Amino acid sequence: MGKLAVATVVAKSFLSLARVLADSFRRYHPETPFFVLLSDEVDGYFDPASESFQVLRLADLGIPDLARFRFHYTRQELMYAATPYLLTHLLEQGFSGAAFLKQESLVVGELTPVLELLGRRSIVLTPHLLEPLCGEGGIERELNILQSGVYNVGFLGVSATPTGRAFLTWWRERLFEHCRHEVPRGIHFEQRWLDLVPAFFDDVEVVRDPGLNVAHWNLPERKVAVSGDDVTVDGHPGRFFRFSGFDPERPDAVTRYNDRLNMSNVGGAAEIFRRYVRLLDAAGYHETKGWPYAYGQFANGRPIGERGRYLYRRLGRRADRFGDPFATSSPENFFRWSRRRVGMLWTIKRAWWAVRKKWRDGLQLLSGGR
Amino acid sequence: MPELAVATVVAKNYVSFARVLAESFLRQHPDIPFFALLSDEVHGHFDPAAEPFSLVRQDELGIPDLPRLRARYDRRQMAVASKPYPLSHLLDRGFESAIFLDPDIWVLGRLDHLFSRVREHAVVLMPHLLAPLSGEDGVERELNILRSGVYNGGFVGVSARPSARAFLRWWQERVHEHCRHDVAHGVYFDQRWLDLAVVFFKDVSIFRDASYNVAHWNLPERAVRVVDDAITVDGRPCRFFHFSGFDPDRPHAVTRYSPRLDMSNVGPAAEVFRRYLGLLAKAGYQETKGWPYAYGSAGARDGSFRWLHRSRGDR
Repeated sequence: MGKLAVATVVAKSFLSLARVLADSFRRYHPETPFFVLLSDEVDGYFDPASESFQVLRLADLGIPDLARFRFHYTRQELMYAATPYLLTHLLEQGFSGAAFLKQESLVVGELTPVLELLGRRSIVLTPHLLEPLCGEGGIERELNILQSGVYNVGFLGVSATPTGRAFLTWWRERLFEHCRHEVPRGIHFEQRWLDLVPAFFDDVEVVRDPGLNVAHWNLPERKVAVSGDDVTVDGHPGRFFRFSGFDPERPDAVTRYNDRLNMSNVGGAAEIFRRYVRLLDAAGYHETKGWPYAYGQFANGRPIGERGRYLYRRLGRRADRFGDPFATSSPENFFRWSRRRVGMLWTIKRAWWAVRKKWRDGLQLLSGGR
Repeated sequence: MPELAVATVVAKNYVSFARVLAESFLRQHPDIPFFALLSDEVHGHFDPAAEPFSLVRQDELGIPDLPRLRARYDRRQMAVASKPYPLSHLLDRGFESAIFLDPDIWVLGRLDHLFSRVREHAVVLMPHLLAPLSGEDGVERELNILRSGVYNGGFVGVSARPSARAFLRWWQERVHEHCRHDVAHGVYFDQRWLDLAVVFFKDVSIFRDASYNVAHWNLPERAVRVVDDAITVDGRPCRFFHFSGFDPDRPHAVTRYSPRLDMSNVGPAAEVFRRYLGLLAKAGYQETKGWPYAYGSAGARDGSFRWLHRSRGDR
């Protein structure tokens, strides 16, 4: 087996999560390089050189039309959409395989079995659930997974084979435009696309290991036991936990996505959550969480907002005439155009409301003013 | 007893489709028993003994709560929700493997390769698409598949192994409650559930072969040629064609699901559709299509009950 790299993506407000993840990973795999892609700018908030991991920048990844990519996604969307670009970059650096771990994860044991698979397989996926759910709420939980994707991007591995590269090429193309939360259209950020992977590519391994990706969507089925540093899940070695939807400032709630779960009914997992909160604290959670996002506003500091992103996306290639969409100093810029457009839409809306009101008033007059 | 059996499911207005399928299948595999589950009643409209398939009645399958199900689902939903039952029924009868085929399939070649895969695994599924799509509408077509399910419910193969039994039990339970068109909630009749089957059950094999299950969703990528009696796909003999959404009364449209496709832009595949149309006509399509559904909206109770249960997007 050649050399592997492992990586995650964060905007800088999540830097403390990356620190915790990187440290926990290094504890079990000190020889494997860990990279953190910053889907944001440093802007003097921290010193990349003094972090324990190597920081990569979006500009390092050769993303075509980077300004557009940064502009039309929100902070969260951009983090997710950057995943295949990051993995591609690592393979291009000469690593024989690259694994992705999602930012809000904690490694609690060796990942060796799943990393070793990358020596034999082109693509390694991990499912949210490993078996049918029974009991009350089982069907609803399965439907939730069908809406968000059968495979979970908490862990994803790719090796530098033609199939691995073909997969990344396709995933990059899809995520350049379609990494959004549009469930009725069949899109759930970067994740739903993966449902197609076992059909599109051969040499895909779906790992069914209960120690991987332990998170709110499978906690009711997984029995977690913690004894010192020793974590087991259903009697198997625990490998990594996911803290999807967990808010360190509401440490009693397991996740905002499922209010039935709290620290009193998730068994041994509660201890992992407590440890995670302590680790985040030590990693500067309270300092980093407030760090601003660099691509959330125009150059003049005005927020882009969902409406600005929407208008930009709607323009498609026609937006190219504006050049850098963040810029506000050039004579023909997107900021000015979008404000005019938004202003126009408001004018039309107000005019329509006025007409409607007149029409209703008129009807009321006709019907005797009641 | 032969080790393998094949089944389809139809309401009686689709009997002509089942005839074409059964005859085309038996022509290739005369020794393999072919069953058709009737999700309806015969009511004297045809003579089961004279059909090329062996008829199975819904009451024989131990479908729980059948009257309620019949009231709740319309003709199409009822047929679709019945799909998993003939598979478990055939395994119960002692067949080592069982295969489901949608009635609107036309078998064109021997299926030995597929059969051996089914024998080797607990469950075999067939994806709609085998590779990423390129071109302008590639993204939209992939999203269509993500909404309706990665694996096509027109084919399902199982073998008598514990994991296949577990799969069938689970699938039956799911379609019993949720066989409807509600993509925003992750439901597309029987089909989206199959996306989960791939991870829920051991020994599920994904069968990826372009000469099988040629249909509107993959036609643009598959080069169909017709020379005399031989129909080929990408240069190899075609095994079966699937006429999903094809309406014999609107023979110029390829499928109701994709208005972009019509007989003038699918190349030589148009000839396959013409031949299929001819076979349907010979099999009595014009006669059978009008046969009424036994559990249709004749009674007010039925109609209102179904209306109450109907969710967004249902026909």
